[in-house]
Amino acid sequence: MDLFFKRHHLLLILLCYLATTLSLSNQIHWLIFVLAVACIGWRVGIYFGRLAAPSVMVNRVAALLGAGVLMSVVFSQGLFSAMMHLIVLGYTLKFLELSARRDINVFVCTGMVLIAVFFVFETSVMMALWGVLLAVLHLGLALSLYAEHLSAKAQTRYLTKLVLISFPLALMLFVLLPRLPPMWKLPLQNQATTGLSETVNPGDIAELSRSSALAFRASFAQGVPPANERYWRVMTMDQYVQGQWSQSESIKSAVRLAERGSRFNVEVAGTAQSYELILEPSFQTWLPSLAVSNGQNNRANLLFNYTLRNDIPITQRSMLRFSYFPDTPIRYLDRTMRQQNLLLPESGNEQTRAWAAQLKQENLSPQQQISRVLQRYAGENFRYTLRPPPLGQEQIDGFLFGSQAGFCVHYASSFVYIMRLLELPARMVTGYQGGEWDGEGGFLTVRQYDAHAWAEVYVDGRWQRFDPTAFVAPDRVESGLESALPNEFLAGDLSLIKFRSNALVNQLYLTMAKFDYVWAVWVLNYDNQKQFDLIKRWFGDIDFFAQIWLFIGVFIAIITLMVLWSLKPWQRPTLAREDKLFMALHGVFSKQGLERLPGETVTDYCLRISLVSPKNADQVMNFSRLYNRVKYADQTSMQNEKDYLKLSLLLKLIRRRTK
Amino acid sequence: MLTIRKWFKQRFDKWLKKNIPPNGKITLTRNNLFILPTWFGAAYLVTCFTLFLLGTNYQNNLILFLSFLLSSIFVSCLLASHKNMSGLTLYAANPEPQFAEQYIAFPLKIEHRPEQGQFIFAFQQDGDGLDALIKDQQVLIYRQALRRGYFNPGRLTISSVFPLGLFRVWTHVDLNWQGLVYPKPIESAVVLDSDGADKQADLGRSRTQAGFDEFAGLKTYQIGESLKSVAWKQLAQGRGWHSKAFEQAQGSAVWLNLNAQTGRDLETKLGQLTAQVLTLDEQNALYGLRLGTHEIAPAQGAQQRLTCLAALATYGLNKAVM
Repeated sequence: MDLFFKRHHLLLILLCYLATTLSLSNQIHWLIFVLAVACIGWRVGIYFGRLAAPSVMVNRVAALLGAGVLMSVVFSQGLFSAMMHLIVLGYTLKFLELSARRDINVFVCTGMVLIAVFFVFETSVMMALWGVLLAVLHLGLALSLYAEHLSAKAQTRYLTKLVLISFPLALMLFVLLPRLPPMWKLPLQNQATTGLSETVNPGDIAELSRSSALAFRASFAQGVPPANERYWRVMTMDQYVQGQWSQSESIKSAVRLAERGSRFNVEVAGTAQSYELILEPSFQTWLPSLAVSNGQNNRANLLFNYTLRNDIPITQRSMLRFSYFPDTPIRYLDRTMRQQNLLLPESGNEQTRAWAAQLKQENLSPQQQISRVLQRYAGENFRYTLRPPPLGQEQIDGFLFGSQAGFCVHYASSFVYIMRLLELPARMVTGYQGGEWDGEGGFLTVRQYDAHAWAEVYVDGRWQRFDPTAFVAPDRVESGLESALPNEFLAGDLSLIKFRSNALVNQLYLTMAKFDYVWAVWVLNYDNQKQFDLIKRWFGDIDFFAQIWLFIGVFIAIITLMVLWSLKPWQRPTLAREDKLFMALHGVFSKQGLERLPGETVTDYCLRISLVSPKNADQVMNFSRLYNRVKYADQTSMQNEKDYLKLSLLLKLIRRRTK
Repeated sequence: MLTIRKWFKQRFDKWLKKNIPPNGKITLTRNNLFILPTWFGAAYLVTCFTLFLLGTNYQNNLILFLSFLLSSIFVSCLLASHKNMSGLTLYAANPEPQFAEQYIAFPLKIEHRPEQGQFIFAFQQDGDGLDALIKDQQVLIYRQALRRGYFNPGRLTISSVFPLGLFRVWTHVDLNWQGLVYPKPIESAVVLDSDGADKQADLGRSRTQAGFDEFAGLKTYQIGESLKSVAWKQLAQGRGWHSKAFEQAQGSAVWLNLNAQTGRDLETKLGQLTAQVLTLDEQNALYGLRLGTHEIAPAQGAQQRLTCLAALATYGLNKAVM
């Protein structure tokens, strides 16, 4: 039963197992590894004859017990995690029942599914290569079962050839096979959310500003907007409770509706521009967008505050396409919304209230009031910093009349507060501002440190954007955080970005970024639209049926190439030169009815000829002696050459005599 | 149910006979090879499809690519496993004769290219066959012969699951083997021919007391002679290989006769005769054999034994009958 199971099989299985589970180690509960040590220990014990193979009963109990314990531990992490752990459990327990080839086959198939799970979490180029390598390793395990006569080196070579020869077909399927829409909803992996959160504390965005992690990338069909117009709206905060801005109930319910597919209809005006976003996983549903944008596919839905929500959380690098209408105003405001956007606590921040009341008595137009407030930010000693001093209970007072040092949230928060005191509907907007434009690659890179907060005020029948930070630190808006705060920028972060003043590092960084972008656009988010573009570029404008014919044609071409490679019909068995002489001799005598019998050696055949036709006996026996010497004798090449010449002369002689 | 299977089997055998006719030398090509996915192959395809569903539902292109790559490898394996067996040439060599109810070793020579995978050899109608012995290019496949006569072991199944075990490639070939099967020896005392009573009288020996073991001297040992007749003593003394010659008096040839046997039926009688031939040969006697009208002149040695055994094996049988 265990006859087929050799040491190298055990080693290969261990290698496959460890490589696969360790790749997933961030997602797998540590209990699995404890179980794995026990199972591997048992299997090694069986291998060395110290332990008996566990009975079927033991296997079943282990499976049930393991499943039970694991489920109780990981079920809180969601259905995806539970399913993944069940697969890993089966993968681990296979060590206990490796009694037949079939068990290893099951192990290989399970491994493939786990590699797919690995791809759910990891999508970078290196990780993709690693995943393919893992798959090949599993195939190598299968090969080692059925190719025992080959050395490890020959097996590796064979497998490499097999995989390489399969690549063109795989690539062709990837490029030309139309992508299907998701057929049903599968549980999504649960992970900590990243990026902007649903509430805003002044500290939050300062925290984000210390991260150089990628938030998203964007490319524009009609040219990139100028830096001070790149306001990526994510959420609006219209509720101020205990010094914290958050979304009111009405926005939250609209978000829930949008996630289920209902959308707010906007009458757009002006010309449309389109852009694409490659979003990094945030495990949230919000989408950054320029005002006013509409999703080009059905997944991004607009809310009444003109922000967009995806139907499912962004759990992998996803590409979304938007139409952008810069000339469309944000208009929507109803009565309850007006109330909500004027709402403030009854009391508190008395200094600010007094200042606002004073401003109100001057009987200015709303626009004038707003510019007075903004002038205050610009005129006084306000300071832009990521490390503001702590504020007291009265946050707005403490900021406006005390420290006067703060971050974008402080400015936006105090500005909205004053606007509401002036009875102008106002709200805070969080999102990203700016981004780094790579002209050569044609994409904008927005990182977490580009997170920003600003304000929108309803004046003249529409929501208008005001960014008080721009009056304090114009650099922040024009050229990003790095130039606004060169000393505080990415303190404590050791990523490559910090060392970009070095030209070489900068070049390396830019190249990597470009490659990563191309990977994200053309591989991770290669979809029917991209496919259509590609086919159009290669083959011109063709319709749906022509595309099907194209697919079939390329498919047949590749399969034909594979078949040709495999059968090699042009390859004739090459005969050694002495064998050619023998075949000629055979030709001479087969005409006389002396066919060589199956399995008859050259010597036997010549012996038979010499018996049947005695007149040729001497020459033929000589022929066989020389033939054997040329073919088998261990002699110098010169001697060999001589013998070969003799052999061919002998053949000529025999030919002449038999004529 | 059984009859339907039988009917299918008959049709299939007929088809095989037409398409892969019996031959001592067969080259495997796409005309005589069968190929189907194995259990693992099916499971592998299901896995590929699962990955496709996962990739589609999670809209994950990497998973989709993995699925496409694995499917393409499946196609490559189809070609590789066919390539592994096609072009292989099989030569059948004649098997050594064997006694009934013993395993006959059928020798097969295969032309092997270096990268070719393992093959599994088994006779089609063999439930309890011994494992084939594979040694370089020579393969011995064993099959038990039940009756005497010429024995055709039936079609040989050669299969391979190389390289990944996803496909099984196989063929059923009839290599036109004719194994000669001697009757199974049935222990009995040597019964000499009573018809030749006149000769018996000349010999002056009793029928039951065949005195054919008088030591006559040493002669040079020849390969094929019974090891029992080797003069071990002389060999040990370093005087070379000699055999002890047991010489009988002039005209002391004895006859075995089918009709003189005591067995109930022909097969038993032949079995008894076989045992007696072996006994006489062991004692290096000069003996002849009468089988009905067929007569084998008295002689001794290995050749005589083989002639007699072959005659016993084929007695009363048409050569064509297996």
